[in-house]
Amino acid sequence: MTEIRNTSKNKRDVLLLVILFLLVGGVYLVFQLFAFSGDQQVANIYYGSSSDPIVTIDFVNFEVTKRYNQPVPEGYGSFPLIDLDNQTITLLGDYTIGGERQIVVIKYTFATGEHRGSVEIIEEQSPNNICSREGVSTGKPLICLPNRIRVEFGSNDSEDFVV
Amino acid sequence: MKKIMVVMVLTLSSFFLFACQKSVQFSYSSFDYMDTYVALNGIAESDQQAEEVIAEVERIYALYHELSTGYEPLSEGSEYLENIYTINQKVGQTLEIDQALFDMIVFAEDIKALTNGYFDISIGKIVDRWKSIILDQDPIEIGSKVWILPKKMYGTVESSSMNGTREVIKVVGDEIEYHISELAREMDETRFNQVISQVALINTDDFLITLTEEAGKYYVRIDGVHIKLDLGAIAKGYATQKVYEYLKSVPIIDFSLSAGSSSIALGQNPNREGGIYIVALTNPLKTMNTAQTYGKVYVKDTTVTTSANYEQFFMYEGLRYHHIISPKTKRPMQYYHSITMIGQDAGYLDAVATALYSMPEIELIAWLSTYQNSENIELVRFNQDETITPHMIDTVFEEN
Repeated sequence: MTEIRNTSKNKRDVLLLVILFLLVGGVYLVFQLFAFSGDQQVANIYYGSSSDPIVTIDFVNFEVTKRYNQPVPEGYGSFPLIDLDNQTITLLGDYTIGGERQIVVIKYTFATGEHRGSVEIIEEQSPNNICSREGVSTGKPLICLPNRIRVEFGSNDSEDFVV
Repeated sequence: MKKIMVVMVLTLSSFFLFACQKSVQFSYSSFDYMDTYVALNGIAESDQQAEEVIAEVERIYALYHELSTGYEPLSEGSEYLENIYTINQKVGQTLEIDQALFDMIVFAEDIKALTNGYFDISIGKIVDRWKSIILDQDPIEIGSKVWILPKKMYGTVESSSMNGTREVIKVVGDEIEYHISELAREMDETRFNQVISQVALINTDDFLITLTEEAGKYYVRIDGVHIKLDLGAIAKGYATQKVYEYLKSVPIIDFSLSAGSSSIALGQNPNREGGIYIVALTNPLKTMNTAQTYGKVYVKDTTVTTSANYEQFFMYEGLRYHHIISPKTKRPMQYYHSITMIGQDAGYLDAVATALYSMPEIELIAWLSTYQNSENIELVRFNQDETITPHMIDTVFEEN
């Protein structure tokens, strides 16, 4: 009798351990998935070499969030300018004409149905206009030199880089 | 009861274990080097290690930027002897240079030999001539005569009107909505022929780069009436490779490093199972109405380089004239729209991708059959005829 009870006790221990492992493993997995590779459909707008975005566009929740004001010299007014009706965001670039720094206008389009959110530089002054010639992007970062403004997409499940 | 306690303690301690993964996320970015945007994201063991890594990465890019630039002399009080700009000013003189620059030029010359002369750093003047006409295009005017549209559609613009920020242009009976940035104007014949005749006058036969090493000192001498060194097709990748090697030596395991979108080096991805990065390849013919990418590769612990024609070009007779100039024909070739390479050396790939871009398909295939396995390189090409050809060893390429 004693022996049988011990066996069933051992079985319970094993079961308990298995459940424990599954529980901890499951929680860990869920944590990893949600913490790191959630499908964030966002684009961030940066100025200079700062890694803190000035504006974040959330394509899925249809939200544009200003994080902080772009630091600009006195006399230029306040940036970024966010125009929700025309879906544009305007920042002050580093390129100057006649000593005046020039603006960079970013047009965004929210995700609809099968279309992913997109951004496009629709106005900027620079010698070669490389970033506005780039056209619409749904994943490739848009980098404006010498204006030092860039738009980068938040990590999502489908790709980490576009080259 | 005791058992439940043990279970709870075990459970709690295992959570602490996850929480205590010793790691510091760090990032570095700069617009100051290689005329591009450099960005590094990684995970270090400590704040101190992260600081050291960032300082060293910046030092490496600053070093190669200053040595390889052809646009400006060394900064005042620079610790270096010469750079590409000053070497180009002193044709016919033997100059002592720093070992870092010497090694980079030797590397470039080795790739010239390896690719049968399809990569050549001495044709700077020919590259300049093409770049000037590519960048000096008149602003696009609506209402002008002939336009070349993406995907080889061309015709006479019958009318145009504005719809918000978009130009609605009526072409050959179809009304197509294009944003102005997607249109490239046909180059006029006179200007095109002018460039062709100008580059024809640049004789490359007398170009000579002499590299000598003597008693621990390094010398270079360039000769040729029209010689001009241009490291634009190798410096970014070469410097990125030095950073990549440094990161692996620390070691930093989880990282991504990009110098523009054309040259990237990857460790492991902490956010994806198996450490994989998914790199999507830009559709070189993308417009408003097409897919933005044509495929993706799944990679880690490697470097990826792309040479393509979609960023800077003009159209002539329905073809794109871009910034990658063949040393053989002295003009941009139209065999491929883009070539993406994967391998262990970003500097090598930068130069080799440039060389292969100018090779006819038969030559490219022959070159790959000789070198692909020994050099362990992989390649995906988006051809002129819009077909896609992967040359993979074990990397997964997925077409959209």
